[in-house]
Amino acid sequence: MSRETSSLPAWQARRPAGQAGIRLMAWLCRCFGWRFGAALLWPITLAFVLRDGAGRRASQRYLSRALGRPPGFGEIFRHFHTFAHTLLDRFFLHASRAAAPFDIRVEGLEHLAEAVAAGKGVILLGAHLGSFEALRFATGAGAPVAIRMVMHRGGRGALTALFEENDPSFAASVIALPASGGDGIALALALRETLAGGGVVGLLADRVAAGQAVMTADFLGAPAPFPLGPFRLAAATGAPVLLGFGLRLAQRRYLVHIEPFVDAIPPCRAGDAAGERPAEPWAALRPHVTRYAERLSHFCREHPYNWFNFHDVWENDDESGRSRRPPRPAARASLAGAGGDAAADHRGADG
Amino acid sequence: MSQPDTIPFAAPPFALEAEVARLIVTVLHLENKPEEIDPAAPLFGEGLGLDSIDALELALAISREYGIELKSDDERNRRIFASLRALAAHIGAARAR
Repeated sequence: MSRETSSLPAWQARRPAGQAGIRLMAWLCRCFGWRFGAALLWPITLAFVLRDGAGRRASQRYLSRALGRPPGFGEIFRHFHTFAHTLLDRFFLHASRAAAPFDIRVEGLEHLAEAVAAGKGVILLGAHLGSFEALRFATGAGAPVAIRMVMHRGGRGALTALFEENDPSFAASVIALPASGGDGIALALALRETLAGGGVVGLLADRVAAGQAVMTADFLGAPAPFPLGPFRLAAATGAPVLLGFGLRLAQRRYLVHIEPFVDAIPPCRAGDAAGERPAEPWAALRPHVTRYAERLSHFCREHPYNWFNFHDVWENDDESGRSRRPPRPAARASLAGAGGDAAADHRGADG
Repeated sequence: MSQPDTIPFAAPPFALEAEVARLIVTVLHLENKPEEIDPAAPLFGEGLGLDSIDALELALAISREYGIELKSDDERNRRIFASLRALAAHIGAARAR
């Protein structure tokens, strides 16, 4: 069996946004409102674009693929600026929606309602595309059950701490990824219980953490690694899978798009009959990973400034298209690509 | 894989260990042979290096094979999953109840 790992990805090696800076920004937003915060984003974004060479180059490589041509400085700035806006909006979505009205249109909510009604739990696959928070809030109103996001918590993310202060329901809506050195048992059982209770589990399936099992698939024209965890979770539990993205269209305007993905992924139990082990234990997941990458590529082309992975996701593209798993004993428990022990949220985006 | 229901409590501990080892290898598609798993070594992290989805698959298999439900809020989880030996002991004790 080939179980290999991804090495420490670039995004995990980066530093989170400064605690003090975020606190100051939050205070200014509370005092002077969304418009003032939005105005501040111009100089803040400019500072980030100028200072963050690695992020700028990653943005350039990504936009070249998404736009189909090399981007200019203005387009790279717009990419950073869009990301900054989703963070600002996230703060206001949590803190005081009345202070900053949002226009959030939802399409496909009936698919979610239908899947929930089946009673087997639902896996909602998202991406670092637009704002998952917009999706969570929009579906919160009409959805039969709340969405629990799988993400990192704990003392690291200044933004997450802020959101939890502003919105006590936020903590309950999160299934925590194991802290460094954690074993993932609590995560595994929480996932199982949420799904068994008919709940919705939200996972971002476009970012790989160190030590994670991955599969490469074509993403915007070149192979990129995707985490296998979300797809293995679907296969293990038999829960229906949907895609969900909260796309930012304009200032305070979002389109939440939900579409069916697969009714059920059959369990990956190749090799247990005759005792033969398959060369690639998760080969059965390939079509699903491939289609996820295709749909993500589609939405990245439609909304190029919405995808927020400011590191080079194609950096390991010399790998063949096989699935890889962490070599023992180096494996670590992680799932949605949202962290590892040396992980720093990319500018605190994941909390 | 499970032993006949008539003699479940008669099985000596190491037999159950071997049985759980076979379950782990089968369910998780491990390269290891069941007898190669060190009963005292950690299942997660440094030992077998299992991850959270492995834990989920294992919990589902244990529920299926032995009818034992593991709860996320059980403080003993870490100890239960500490090693093959600990897991087999937990299954043995739960079955005996």
